[in-house]
Amino acid sequence: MDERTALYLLYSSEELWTNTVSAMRTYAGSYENALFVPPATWRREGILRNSKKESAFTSIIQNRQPLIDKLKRYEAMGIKMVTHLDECFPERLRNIPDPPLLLWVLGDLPRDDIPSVSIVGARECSEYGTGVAEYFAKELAEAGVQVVSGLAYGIDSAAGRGAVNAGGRSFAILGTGVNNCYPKEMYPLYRNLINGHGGVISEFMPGAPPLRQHFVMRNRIIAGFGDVLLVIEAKEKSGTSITVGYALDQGKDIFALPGRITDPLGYGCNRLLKDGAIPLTSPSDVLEYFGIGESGQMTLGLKDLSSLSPKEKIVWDNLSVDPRHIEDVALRSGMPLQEVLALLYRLEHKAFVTATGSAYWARRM
Amino acid sequence: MFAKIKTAGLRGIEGFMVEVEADMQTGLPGFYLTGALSSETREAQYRIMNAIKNSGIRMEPRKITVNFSPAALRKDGTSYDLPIAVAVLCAMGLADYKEFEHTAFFGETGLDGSLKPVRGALPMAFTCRENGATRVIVPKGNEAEAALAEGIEVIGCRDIPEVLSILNGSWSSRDHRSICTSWEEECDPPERRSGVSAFPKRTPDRSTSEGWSAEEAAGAYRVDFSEVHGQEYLKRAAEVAVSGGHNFLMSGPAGTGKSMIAKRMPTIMPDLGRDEDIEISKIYSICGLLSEDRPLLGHRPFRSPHHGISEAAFAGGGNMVMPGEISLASGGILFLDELPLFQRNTLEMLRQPLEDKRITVTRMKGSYTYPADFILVGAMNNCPCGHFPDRSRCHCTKAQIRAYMGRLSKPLLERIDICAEARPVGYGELTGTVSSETSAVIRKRVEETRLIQEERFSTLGRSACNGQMGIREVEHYCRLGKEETDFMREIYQMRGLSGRTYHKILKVARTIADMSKSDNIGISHLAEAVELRSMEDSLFPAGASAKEAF
Repeated sequence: MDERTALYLLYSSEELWTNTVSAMRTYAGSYENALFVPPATWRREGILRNSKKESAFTSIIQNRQPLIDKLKRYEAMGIKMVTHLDECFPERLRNIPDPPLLLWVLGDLPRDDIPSVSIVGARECSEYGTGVAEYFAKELAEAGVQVVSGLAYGIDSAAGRGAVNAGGRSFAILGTGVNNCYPKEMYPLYRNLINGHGGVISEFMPGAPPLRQHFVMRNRIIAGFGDVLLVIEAKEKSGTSITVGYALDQGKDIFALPGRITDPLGYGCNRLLKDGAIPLTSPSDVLEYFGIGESGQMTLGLKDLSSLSPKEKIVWDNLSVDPRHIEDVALRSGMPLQEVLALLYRLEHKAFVTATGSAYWARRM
Repeated sequence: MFAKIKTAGLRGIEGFMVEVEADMQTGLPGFYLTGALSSETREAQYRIMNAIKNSGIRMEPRKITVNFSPAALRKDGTSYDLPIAVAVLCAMGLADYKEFEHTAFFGETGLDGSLKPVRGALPMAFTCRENGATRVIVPKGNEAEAALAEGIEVIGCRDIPEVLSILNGSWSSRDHRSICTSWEEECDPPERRSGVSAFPKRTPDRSTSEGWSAEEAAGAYRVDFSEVHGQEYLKRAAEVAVSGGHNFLMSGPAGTGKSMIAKRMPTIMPDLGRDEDIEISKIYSICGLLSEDRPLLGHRPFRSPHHGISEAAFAGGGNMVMPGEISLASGGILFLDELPLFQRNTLEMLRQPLEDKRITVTRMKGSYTYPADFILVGAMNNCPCGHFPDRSRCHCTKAQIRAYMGRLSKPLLERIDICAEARPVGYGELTGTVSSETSAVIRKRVEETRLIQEERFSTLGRSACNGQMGIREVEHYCRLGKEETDFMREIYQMRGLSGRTYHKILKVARTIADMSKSDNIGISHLAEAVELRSMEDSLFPAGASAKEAF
């Protein structure tokens, strides 16, 4: 048995995690040797401190062969295992506190020699938030920056979509096994990522369920893969603040999108800005940070309205980036409902507006 | 002696004639009933002996046998009391049954000999007429109801002595009010007896003769569309639904007037013609829901069963099989508030009625068919707390919302053409004095739109509306021009619509075009129909079934 397989075996139980497995290696000299150390010794040394860890260790030893068979099956499914012993293990992760010892990958890993940003934010975000996330991801991806995110609802998946639509590369760090698309609504994005637009990465065994603690742990990897962290929208207390904490521990710079002072989704970002985060006002803020030059004029929210007919213009004027009910739009425009609807569909065709839900419409950014 | 008397029985909404034969012989005294009777019908043997005796008629101790023919059909209910009593009286020699060959009897007796009204008098009277009876004798309380069967003499009696006086000819018309509607109406061809349909051939309005003037009928609803302030979009959607006979689902925050609008939808449906009124009243008669002095329902029904309703109460059934809520809603609106909270089994019951416009309840005792031709109107919140999409008040998680919406059954959604989202109403609109349109104004428009549809489908030989078009009819009647085809192709691809949704959009667009009296479906009609499209595609996207990639 080689070292990689031994590491895989030890890492296959979430009871023994990075700290315990590293301590075992230090004591036994190698992962392989660690497998042959009797549990009693581990207890004496204070490395397996409770019975849960002990029974996890014993069951690994007993199930050695089935676990190795499982690994072969994963490899046959195209799931790659990358350990810190490998050359190709991401440099970025070697340098963070409490690095994962092993990663599962579908698709590719982010390249070490290309700048990358992590984009995070609220799951329950506004239309404005998804619009901004998509736009920034698109602009950065077009400039060649890798976009790292979490495949969650809201900001995360918007960032992934933006990068993929721009033909760039994006990576999703999952809180489940890499073969498990969670949430399942993100399957189209998930499939794009594993089919040449980047990859999905997880430190949890393939097939791992979406447990709460998984998502907290994976946040340190999201922060770890990015050279900087962009926070788009976040409430005062949220999962995003955990990611921000990890990024600060790792010594990363934080960019935060300024929020409206009355908007709960802006509180988190504004707090970060007060504490010294860099205001995120255009993609060139980030590009200049990397020294890749400017992306040129900010085009977000700027539309060339000259192609619109006067009536289309009226409807456009009475929309906002926050979704409005069609009846509101009609009342504000002073036109009959049916006429406004026909205009809205024409505007949608011209990519000026978007239907956000049944009977709700918003400006497209 | 032997006697034979006619009566009617009910099986579903259809009636059948029954002959009650009584024979009186010497022998061990007793009272025997034969002929597939249910327990409550069989109890008649005790009631009738006492009723006859308490009416002051002396009974010899004899062996009495009463048989019901056809003996194979199951008979239930208490309406056989009176015919049994009459048959026994004739068998006792108090009257000659041969004089009553064209007379039918039905009613329940009390122990004191009084006659009590029974359920189903209206369909039973029609059955008697259709089977050649020229006179029916019924309890006083059923007189008005039975009299709706025109061209047949209806005599309402209070007790058995009164019936006896008719039987032996001592009856004087002074004591009784015999209702016999004018005979010239008998000359009318009987094609008026069309089946229940939400879209009937309109007959000349005769409802006034029953005491229902148009004003009264309008007042019967006690509500009016002008009371709804704001929600123009929802109101418009309701009008489209009624105009084309489309099933309709409203979603939106709590307290925005969804129920209010549903409750007012019967008021904008076309006026109820007399024939249709009778067909609807028959169902109410079977359930005993008609009042004695107002034998016709007189307005379109609005039924709003609670979501805890049992399958039998919803679709029909029970120990004595009775029409359910969906039949009681026939000709009107079946409103299901809080649609996702209904038991799935209950909602599955709607499948057949939504396709066939009737429901067949099959039990061991037999199968019963009731009409169920309603417009289905549903209302639902978008999340368990009811405030979504207002995120400042709704704290439901995505998963909760998805689970809530997921309770909707896909087959049911497939049969709903129109979905509309309500909008939170502002204070200004609530208190505003801007008068909205009255139901009468909207109803007039709806009737005009229905007329267009009647002409369109007249060649098909059935009354129908756009909501009932099949795929072939959609292709024939909903042709699009080039510009419109391009528009729809764009939408189809952008929204990822399914073929079924596409056809539903065309159907609704046809109705909207009819509403604006346009022969061709235009872009604005399509745009509105797309906005009102059903939500099944967004709730059940084709790709979301892939849980695991491998």
